[in-house]
Amino acid sequence: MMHLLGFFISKANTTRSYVLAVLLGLSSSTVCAELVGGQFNVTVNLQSSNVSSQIAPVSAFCRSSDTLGSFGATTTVVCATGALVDISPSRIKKNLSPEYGGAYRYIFQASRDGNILGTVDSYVEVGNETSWSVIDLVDRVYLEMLVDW
Amino acid sequence: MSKLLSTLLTSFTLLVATIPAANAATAAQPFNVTVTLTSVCTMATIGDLAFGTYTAFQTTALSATSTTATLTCTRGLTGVTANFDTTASIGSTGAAAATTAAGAGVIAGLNYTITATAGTTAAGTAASSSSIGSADSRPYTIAGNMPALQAGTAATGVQTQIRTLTVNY
Repeated sequence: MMHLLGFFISKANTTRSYVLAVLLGLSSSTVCAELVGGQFNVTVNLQSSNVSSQIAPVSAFCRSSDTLGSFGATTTVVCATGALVDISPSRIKKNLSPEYGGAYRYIFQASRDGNILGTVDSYVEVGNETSWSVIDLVDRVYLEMLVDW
Repeated sequence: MSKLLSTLLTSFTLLVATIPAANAATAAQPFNVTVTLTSVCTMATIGDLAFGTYTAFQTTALSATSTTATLTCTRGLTGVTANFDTTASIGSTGAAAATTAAGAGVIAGLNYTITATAGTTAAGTAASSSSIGSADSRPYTIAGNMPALQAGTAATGVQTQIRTLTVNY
């Protein structure tokens, strides 16, 4: 009798299992998502020249200008003070910008008629010098370089 | 005279013979027409998401010219969501929201974000006994934004990156 009862319980469980399987099957078909995809291109043209003219940062002792300078210079960096520290090409490259100052400043004397008028600083950067000009003003002479890198 | 009677008799016989045909009965049984519809969406070719020219360290963010992904779907489809591929993303790529997907990426060393926003669905026309009807049209507007003050990685010319918009339904 006990064995017979056990059979009925087992049978009932089997039936419930079938029902559950059917329900799971139905529910799984309803949640099965379909996908459709489309590819597209993201495009950009990165312009990296004349970086310093785009930044135009300001520091305490240097100033830069992206306006058209003497002899067609497009970028002019002028510093009021500073000393030559290092201009070797092995230095870590940084952008030509007065905000980096220090190790990338080059000093030469500005003079006229043998009189030292002071110093004019400019930055030296690893790159290609495309042109340079000696600017002769009333009270000073300085070198203006157009550099591309 | 007998010939006349014979002719009349023949005609009557033929007339009687045709009467049962005019009284034919009809029998009808309804039957079911069944079909299982598998809903489908297809996606048209998507145009480029073009940022144009980004000048390194520019002080303003750059928005791309938006493009549109148009889905053609079974009428009345609900629960449509979209998301972007993650292969070109940086950090976390936004999961698909109900109607708007968000993603990110890097191209030419420039960080950018993209979104796909579902537009208004143009409902198709229902089928009739003389017409197959038309599908719903679901537009997704894809927009992009490139933050300001980025250095980028030196590259020559227009750089292209392939992205994928996936729609779940």
